[in-house]
Amino acid sequence: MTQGDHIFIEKYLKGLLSDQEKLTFEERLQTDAEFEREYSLEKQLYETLRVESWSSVSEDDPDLVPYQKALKQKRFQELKETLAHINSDVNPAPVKTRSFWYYLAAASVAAFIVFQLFFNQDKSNQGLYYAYAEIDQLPSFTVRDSNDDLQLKLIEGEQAFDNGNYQKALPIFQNAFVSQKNNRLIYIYLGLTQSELELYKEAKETFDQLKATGSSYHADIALWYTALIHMKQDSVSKALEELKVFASKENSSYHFEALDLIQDLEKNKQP
Amino acid sequence: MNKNQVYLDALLTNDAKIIKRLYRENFIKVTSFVLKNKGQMEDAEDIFQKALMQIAVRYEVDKFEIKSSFEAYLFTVCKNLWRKELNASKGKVTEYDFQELESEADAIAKSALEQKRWELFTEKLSEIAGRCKELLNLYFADVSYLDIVKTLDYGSEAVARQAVYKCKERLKTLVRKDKRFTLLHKS
Repeated sequence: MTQGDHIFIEKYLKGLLSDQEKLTFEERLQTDAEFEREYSLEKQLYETLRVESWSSVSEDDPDLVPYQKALKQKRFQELKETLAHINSDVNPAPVKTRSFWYYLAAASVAAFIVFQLFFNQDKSNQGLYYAYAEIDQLPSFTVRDSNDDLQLKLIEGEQAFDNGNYQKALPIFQNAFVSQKNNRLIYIYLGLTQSELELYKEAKETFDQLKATGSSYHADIALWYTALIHMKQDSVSKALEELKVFASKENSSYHFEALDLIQDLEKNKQP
Repeated sequence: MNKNQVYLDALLTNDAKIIKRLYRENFIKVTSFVLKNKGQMEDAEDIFQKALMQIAVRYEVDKFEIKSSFEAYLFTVCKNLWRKELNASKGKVTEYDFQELESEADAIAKSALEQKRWELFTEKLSEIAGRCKELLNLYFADVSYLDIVKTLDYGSEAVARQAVYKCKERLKTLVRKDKRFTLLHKS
């Protein structure tokens, strides 16, 4: 390959050849294997590293085949659905009806970004509590055909909770807690309502009872919220003690959350 | 099992809980980048989902290892996808329309291969130092030879062309020596 060949390839890639030169170039590609190999690598380099490129792979590139085959597997269809589902959870505004709510959500994200960028280092323990407790993302009591009185009362409590009216939510969950001991979601709503009303002792007792229900999953939830409540009260050392239990167990439900939170709390401790 | 491995496995096993966590940890950063770079919220959502699909299919096919943190890697993939989207929207209408018509699976397959090549080529480019690297950066930015002569003070366009030729040869030698290139270029 001569330098002239390389200039020829470069001009072809940049679209600088005349029609006749282009024809000659393409004929040579068909007949000269070494020239074709050289062109192929130059093309890949140019189209991949070129600042302005938008696509560097052609439809008939043989290296595409394994990816195309893999993407036909059912698991990738399922993954696509899961991603769409999670995306709509995280960004609830439906695309077609995005209007006021969409822009409000976008504005909130923008505001949150600014918050993250400028104030993250100084986030208080209370701020961390809300970031990790995600009290606005609890499961709902609403089920299809929610028409019995107990269910309707719980939905009323949930709405009060969502609206921040914890005084109204508290007696609803307290009553439901007594009559429906098997409904673990009530423990969580009640405990978090108590926490919001700064009834910390009661909140911890509620989560202790959740822990005593026996399942290791619910015990993890109880321990997680107890740690968060300690943090909300600025009892960082107690919170850390509990978080370290999660951090040491890879299979616990809150392993990664705990690792991140420990890191955030350590950051807060630094001057 | 390290955190990167956990995330990669979660994508292949469709573990919604861990994937949701991935969203919570990374989506804001990607949104911030897209919004700052002429995009809308829905662009960020689209890019984020495509990036995760791309990483999943590459892990399935190549079983590749992420050398940085998963977060940093995901962000790089998102940035590359968004850069290409922006370039596409600046390009010719016919090209852009063509891309729009392409199936989503084909677009993800293409982006997976593009990312794989980009990782190899940028790594090799970073191994080239000094004036040669500067020259190649100008070449890949489509700077004209006339401007290269002025910027790097070459005697003439012919001298600059010869220098580009030599530097590209160095880059190609480095690429060809890497075993990932052999795997990439089986044909």
